[in-house]
Amino acid sequence: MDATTPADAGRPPEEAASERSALASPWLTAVLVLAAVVLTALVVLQVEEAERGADQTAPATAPLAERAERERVLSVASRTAAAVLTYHHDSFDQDVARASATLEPDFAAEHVEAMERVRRVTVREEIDQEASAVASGVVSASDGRAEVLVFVNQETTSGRTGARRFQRDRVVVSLVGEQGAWTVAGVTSLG
Amino acid sequence: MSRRLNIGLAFLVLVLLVAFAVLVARNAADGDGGAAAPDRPAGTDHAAAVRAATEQVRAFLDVDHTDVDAQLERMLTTTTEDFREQFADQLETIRSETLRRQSSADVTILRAGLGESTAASAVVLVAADTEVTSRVGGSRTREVPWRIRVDLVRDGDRWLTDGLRFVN
Repeated sequence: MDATTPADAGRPPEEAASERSALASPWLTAVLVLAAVVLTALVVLQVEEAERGADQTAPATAPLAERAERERVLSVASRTAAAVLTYHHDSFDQDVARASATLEPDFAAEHVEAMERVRRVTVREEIDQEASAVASGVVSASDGRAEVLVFVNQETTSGRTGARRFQRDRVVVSLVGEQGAWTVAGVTSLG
Repeated sequence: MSRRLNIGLAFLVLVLLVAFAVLVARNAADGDGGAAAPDRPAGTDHAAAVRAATEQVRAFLDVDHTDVDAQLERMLTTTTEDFREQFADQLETIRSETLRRQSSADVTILRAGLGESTAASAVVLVAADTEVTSRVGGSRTREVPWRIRVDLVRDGDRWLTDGLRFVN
């Protein structure tokens, strides 16, 4: 039994039935399914194209235009990345405190917490780690935020075992601030 | 049931149509922005220098033993004559090793940043990873991290690669 819908009220029964029949046609179902499949494929292709475009343009976000400001950002990022990654077993607390003092407060707390986890092994194995920034470049900068790519070399030695390890790292330093006063809010290793 | 199904399908088609239209419009707008970059005044367009360096690194690392000659040829089209002369020996090494090992690589650009720069030159650092597959000695894949410095010089509307080296 085919129920009459409120929309059919007052219309000739044949007309309403014909319209319902057209709407219920299996041909229409097939056409709509085909259209949905084709459109889904087209949407996926467009999304992939958008992602490819983002991949190509993401690194090209306008760096700081003013040369002096760019150099300030690069200097703070390089100096801080090296400080955060440098520590010695016999001056561990001072090293962590000195590095943390220059960081944005939330990141400073994170850094202290992270270093607390390596304190025991550092002291026990008499580990010293020296990090130096060998190159840096501004990835993006706008609205009081900047991101800097820093290439960092780390040399780690163990006084107890004599083991020595050299690592070439790539880190992204996030900064917040404004003209002349930038503070590091994050250091993330890219491996 | 069929009627409800068709109405549901029609709604889905409508949603997909709108999504498709929005994506096409957005991609077209992005494409216009990218194409306009090289026309900006020389010396101020350092974002274009970063893009050029990124593409150079991608072209350099994206080896494929089935297409190595064409790939190297493409890579050289955006380099200076000095670079081509200095790089000739290394290119031959890359070519022969790629063919010998039957290597191919997938490149992921992680970050690129602008270092020293003037109106006529720019230094760009690029961090990238490659997933290299070699067929020699049994097919195997390995991840390789890269730290690359690209030196560019301005040539009219274009930035050309004048140096490319690994940062140790």
